[in-house]
Amino acid sequence: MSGSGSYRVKEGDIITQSGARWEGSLGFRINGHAVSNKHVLPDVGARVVHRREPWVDAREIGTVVRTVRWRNPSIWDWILYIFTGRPLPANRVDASLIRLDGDVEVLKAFDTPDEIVDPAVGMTVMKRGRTTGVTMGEVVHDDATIVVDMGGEKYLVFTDVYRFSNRTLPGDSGGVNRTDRGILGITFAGPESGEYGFGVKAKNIVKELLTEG
Amino acid sequence: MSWVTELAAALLVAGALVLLGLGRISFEQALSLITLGIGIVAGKHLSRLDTYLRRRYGSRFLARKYSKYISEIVVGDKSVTIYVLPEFLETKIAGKIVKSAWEVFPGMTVEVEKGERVRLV
Repeated sequence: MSGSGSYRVKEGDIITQSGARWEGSLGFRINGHAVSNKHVLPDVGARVVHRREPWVDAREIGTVVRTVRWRNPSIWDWILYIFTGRPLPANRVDASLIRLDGDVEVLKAFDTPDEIVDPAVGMTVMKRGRTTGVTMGEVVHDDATIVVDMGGEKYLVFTDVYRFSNRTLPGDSGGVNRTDRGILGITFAGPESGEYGFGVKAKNIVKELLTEG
Repeated sequence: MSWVTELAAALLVAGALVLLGLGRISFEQALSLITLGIGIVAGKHLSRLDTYLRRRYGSRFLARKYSKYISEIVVGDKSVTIYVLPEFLETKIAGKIVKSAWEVFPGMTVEVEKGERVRLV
């Protein structure tokens, strides 16, 4: 796929949405679309821009066509929780779907199949992102529930995510995580130390962004 | 031997039908034995459902309840690992979290590890 006039981008390259003052990373390509994090591309309809280097000139590569809805507990959730014990809602996915422009070609960051693979403890994780670049590690937990500190005493609970040992820093969000058998997911969170990170499973992204609704 | 319960229930139901056929027990007695057989199997599956629901929602419940103090929860086959933020490790709240975890995951080992505040990157 090297047709004349095509603009090549690679999984893990720097992206953001038009007019934003932050940068994240590009995830994997699927069904003619690409994915990244919701917190990198929060607005449906926004244009997605690609950069070769941080904070330098950008080139539009597509449009955000879908994003997930994070579920904070409503008053009804709290009432049901108190009186019936029904668990409060949590989230599995931090992702947005990008419809790529016709001339954009997404190259793989690593030469592995495009199969969606369920993470398992011990699996190799090949990660590419804006800040740490290419890192190698492994899956440490394959089914974790984490609390993400959103600042200002606000917390979001994410379930069914995986933890990997690769170094992870701000800006890596949305970048692809692959293993030798295929795609595991995308990076979305990490501790302040940057010593490890958390990923959203590709299978959950496909379920929420490509098959539901 | 995951089939023992089903086998016992099937023998109970079959026995009830045979005894009913032979006229040794009344219809109501046969019905009671059949209901007992079905109940044994249903109880086994309800217990599995309970385990499933605890595994699926227990960690979410704890994470929500103690969101200020916890960074991560990992539920294994026989143990639950809770990553508590360093500033709360040696406090009463850590004990309270463990007590809650025992209630949510009865019979499982609860381990506490040092966690780190997690942020979107």
